[in-house]
Amino acid sequence: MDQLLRAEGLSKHYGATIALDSVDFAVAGGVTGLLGPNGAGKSTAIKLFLGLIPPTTGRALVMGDEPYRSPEARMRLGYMPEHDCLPSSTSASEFLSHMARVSGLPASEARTRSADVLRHVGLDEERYRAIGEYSTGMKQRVKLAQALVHDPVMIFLDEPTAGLDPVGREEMLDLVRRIGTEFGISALVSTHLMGDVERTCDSILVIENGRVTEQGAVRRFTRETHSMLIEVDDRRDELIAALAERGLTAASDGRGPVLIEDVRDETFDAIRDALVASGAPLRRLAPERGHLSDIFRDEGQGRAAADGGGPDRPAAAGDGGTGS
Amino acid sequence: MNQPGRGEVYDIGYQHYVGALEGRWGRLMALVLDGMRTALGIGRGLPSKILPALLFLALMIPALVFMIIAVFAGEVPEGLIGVPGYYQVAAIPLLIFSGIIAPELLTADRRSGVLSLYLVRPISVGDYVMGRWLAFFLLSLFVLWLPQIILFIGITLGDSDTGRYLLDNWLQVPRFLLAGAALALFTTTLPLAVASFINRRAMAAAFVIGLWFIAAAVGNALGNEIEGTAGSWLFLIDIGASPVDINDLIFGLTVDRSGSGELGDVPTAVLVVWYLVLVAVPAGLLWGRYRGMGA
Repeated sequence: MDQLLRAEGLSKHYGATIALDSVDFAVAGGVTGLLGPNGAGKSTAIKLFLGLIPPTTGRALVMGDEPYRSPEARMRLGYMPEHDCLPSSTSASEFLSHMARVSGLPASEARTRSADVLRHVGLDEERYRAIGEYSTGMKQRVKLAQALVHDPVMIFLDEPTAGLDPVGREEMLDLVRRIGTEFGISALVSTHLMGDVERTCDSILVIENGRVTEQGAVRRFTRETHSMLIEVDDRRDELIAALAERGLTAASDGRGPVLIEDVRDETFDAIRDALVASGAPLRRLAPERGHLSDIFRDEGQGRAAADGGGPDRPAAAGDGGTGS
Repeated sequence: MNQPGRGEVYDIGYQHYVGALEGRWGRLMALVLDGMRTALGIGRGLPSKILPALLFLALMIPALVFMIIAVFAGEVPEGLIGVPGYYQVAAIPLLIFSGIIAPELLTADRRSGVLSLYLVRPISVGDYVMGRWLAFFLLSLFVLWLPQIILFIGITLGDSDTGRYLLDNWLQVPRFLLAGAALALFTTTLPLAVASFINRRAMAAAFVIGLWFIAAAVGNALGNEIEGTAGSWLFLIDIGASPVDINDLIFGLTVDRSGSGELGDVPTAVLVVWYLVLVAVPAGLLWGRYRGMGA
């Protein structure tokens, strides 16, 4: 897939603070999760690609253009901020029409597009009501709709599920997924919620301390590991003892599943025998899958994520590598 | 198969936009029109429409009254304010209106966060500021020029010798157009500059109107109290009267401060430069305030 965003030696310094440190990476189409702790440089990266701030060094390219130098390049971008950004006294229909016009759509097309997009995000009949009367979930939908109304090629979503209840969160995640699949619009989703990313994103980009520390397809981070999970209804301790007799190290917190690491082909026979010997009623036996949250856990432990078949680890340019 | 008189609705899914896009001018005009709607309270509740309606009436009624008097008298009666002096009357409601309404064009976008959405659209921050500024400037021009046009046409048609009156007074047209532009330039720029630094509309409005009244009170008090050249210069503190001075210069009238005292000792060039400073400094502050916010 073509590269939509490209960072070339991109740095941003705020005085002595280095928000982004000479990073090189590229983002292709699809839905990409932008991950990182607070202050990692995620917001700075988004601002640079939107052309809101100039880079200290390097270039932030959107489909080959630099939005900071050429605001016209923003015609192909949409942005859904995390913070409040909606007028309270205007109707969603009127607001979206205006935003479409400011993006260059003629008046009649702007009205048609605003009605269509509001319908797609689930605001149909309510679109003539003042936005100030909307619930948090409806406001989030309007924020998403304004990012889509001019039919961008790529949208930036900053914490799209912030403040939503569980039902609203599910609906928003479904919308984000549909944007990438049904609408054919690529998205860069900045969020702290790994579950959201696993649910919606095709790939991830991890920024920490101003550097790109991970990049790759989500499935590469969530594929099966070399560990096995055994869920039993009872006799957990007996099972662990039976596994130990057969040379397998098993661990359990006393309530959850029993975890066996470093599983090889011959281990399955030993597990079978231990289950029979212990008399533990088996509920589930499955390989453990990796989680995106492991990336940050592993960073803390100073080792690479998903050892033994984990994803490639791109490094910042300063490290002599690229993040792409 | 459809039955007669019945239809089916198909969901054709998300459709990409394949039509033409407008250029920078079209996008700027969208901002201008939205700014005008905001200033006039269109699309909002009734209270938002009251003040613009009152301003319109305050500017139109005197023009209509003067016109009717002139028509019935067959000429402009002695002592009646005609086209040259009309802005001396119109300046006061426009100053109040601009102080209250103009800040809304900037403060609302910042307070609600909509500004962050504008700055990621294909417009520059300069386009945004220009769009908001033009919205109020054009609106001010409209409410200043329209009564003058009505007044001029009325007086001309009401004159016993219409042709002669037109020949003798046609220069009033470019003069009131120019003087109106000078007044609108002033009453647009300064309130917007104030609004660029104050987030709450009410506080910005109070600041601007307070500035008009305090400057008028201090300037006139000092100007009347101190005699001679120094007193004349002190009248300049009344900054709200500066565009009226320009009007008087354009029409060749004696520059005074509504009978408070003459400015005869202040050179004409100073009056012009003072007016330009009062426009340029707020314009610079306005631009400087927004320049760093986006590309």
